[in-house]
Amino acid sequence: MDRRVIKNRQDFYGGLIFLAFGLFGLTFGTGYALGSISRMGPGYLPVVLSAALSAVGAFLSFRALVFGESRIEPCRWRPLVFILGSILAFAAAISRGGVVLAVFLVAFLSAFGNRHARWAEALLMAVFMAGLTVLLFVKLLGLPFSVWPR
Amino acid sequence: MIENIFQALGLGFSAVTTPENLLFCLIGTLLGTLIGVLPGIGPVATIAMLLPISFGLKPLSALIMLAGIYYGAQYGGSTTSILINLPGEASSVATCLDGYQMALRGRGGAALAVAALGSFFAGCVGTLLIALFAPSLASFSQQFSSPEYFSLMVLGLISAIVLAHGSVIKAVAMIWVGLFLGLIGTDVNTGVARFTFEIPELADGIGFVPVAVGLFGLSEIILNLEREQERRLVSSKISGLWPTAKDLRDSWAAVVRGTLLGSVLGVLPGGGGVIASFASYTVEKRLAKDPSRFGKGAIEGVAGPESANNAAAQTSFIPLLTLGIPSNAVMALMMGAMIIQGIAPGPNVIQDHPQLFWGIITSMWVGNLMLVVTNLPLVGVWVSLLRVPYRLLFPAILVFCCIGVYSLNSSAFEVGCTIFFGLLGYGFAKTGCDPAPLLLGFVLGPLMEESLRRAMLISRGDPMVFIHRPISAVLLIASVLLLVVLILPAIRKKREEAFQE
Repeated sequence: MDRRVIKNRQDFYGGLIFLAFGLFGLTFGTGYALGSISRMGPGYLPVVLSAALSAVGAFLSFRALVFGESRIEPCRWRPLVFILGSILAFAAAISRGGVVLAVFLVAFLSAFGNRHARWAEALLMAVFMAGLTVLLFVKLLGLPFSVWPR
Repeated sequence: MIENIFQALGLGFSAVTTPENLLFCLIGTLLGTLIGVLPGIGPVATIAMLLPISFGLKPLSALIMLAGIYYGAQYGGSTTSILINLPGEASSVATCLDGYQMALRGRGGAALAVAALGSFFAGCVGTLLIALFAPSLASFSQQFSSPEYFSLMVLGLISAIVLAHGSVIKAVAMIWVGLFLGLIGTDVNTGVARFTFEIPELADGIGFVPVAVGLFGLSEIILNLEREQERRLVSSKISGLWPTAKDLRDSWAAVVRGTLLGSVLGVLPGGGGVIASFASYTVEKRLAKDPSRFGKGAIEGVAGPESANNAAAQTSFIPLLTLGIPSNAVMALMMGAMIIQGIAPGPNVIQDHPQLFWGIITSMWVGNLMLVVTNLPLVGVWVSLLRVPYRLLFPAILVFCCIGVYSLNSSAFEVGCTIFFGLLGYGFAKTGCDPAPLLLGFVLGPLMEESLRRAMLISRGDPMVFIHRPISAVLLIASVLLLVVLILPAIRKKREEAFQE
């Protein structure tokens, strides 16, 4: 994609997201029974919505090649990777690793989503959050978490 | 009739004034103020995070607390708007314009006091209005059947477009994405699993909490970290908390007008604090003898919008409690909370759970009183919270997000879903798509499909049924009018201006 071709970048990429949802729905939704308008099957509404989304998405993206002008704020990989990664670590750890490990991981890793993160501070914060979680959610609110790794 | 209302309010009071419920009301309003003060986390994400924790509570306590978060956030948002020109919530953006100017001129205390007192007045009126109109609206909606409900939801979704930032066409597409996501899971009529890919966790559909936390909480944190905004505390010293007699004289009319405007806009589907506060600001500027004072610390510019957003926060409960249709994203969450507590929101709530219904309503009055009493003396505490650097704050918010989502069903899969929706929300933010219509569509998706199917079954596939039935026809005509008005260029321009300010 040449940078100069796409004039309205927000609409172009936004349209692509809608198109992706639409195509996803059309690909997998046509397998379900459509039914008729008086007796709608499980596939009726999903397919109608997916078709509409594909159409609007394609329209937005095409129109964006010609009309309008907008740019997308530059993306930075650091917050994106560390924030989403820290949650992934929580999800991976929570079932078998227990809540202390999982909370420690999410608090520690996410701190590095900030460019000016400091190791000692992140470590301290993670330990503090893990302790607070056990105190607040397990002891006080009685949520059924396993505290330590199994 | 008036007697009945007082009797009913008395019932509500007796339900609220138990020590337990008063405690949860206080917790809710304090939490709400806290998140209203802190930028980067709004009422939607907070209520979503706390939903799982509220399950263990009694239904009334849970709903009192969650409602307190919502209107408490309106109070908190005004504090940061006035003192540091940083709206904690979108609904306090209008307050920044003159409130901050007042603070710069050393009148921050008066601005805070007027905002709090105006909000309290609006809260009282809002509570009374709900008590007056909700019962009759609920009995009126008893006549509704599936075609009317479908048309009502159409109206609600179209109104959501009015509120959304950015282009109309993108807001429409966002609603469709929401509806589509809402349809994922087992089809109630046929038992067919749709788009579940044999993942057992998806059989009941995508969880509401992961969607809300991901779209509103995670993506916001990522964006904040990208921008690395530094917060500046301008006027940490607040001298003279009490407004002068002149201030009160200047602002009482604005408070009354803001309250009325907010009450009306709050009831309309899609309405809420944001649009109400902007509308009130515009009205005050129009009516002022000397409009040039606005933007330079006019006290009416604080009193009007602050009253309006609080009144709207209150009356936006009406559609949910009487029709079972949420009018904005926060109400969608409240609806989720009610369903999880085993209460079907709708016209039957008043009859089947009178204590709950009147309890929620009176709790709002009690909560507003608590907010006035706790907020003015605690302003210093809230402001000092802003000194906590964001780099310490956001990991804590993330921990609460994770715990909140996980504790819902003890499902690591749902935590994973949150990542997906966080990424999606990030993409939408970059491309200028407002996620609020998506959430509303997501909640209404299954309901709409159900009522559409039933309506089509009754009418044997004749779509004219929506027009032949009078109530449904009126609702659809209102939707079409709204859509036409939206597309008209003049109003579109105005709307863009409103969001830019």
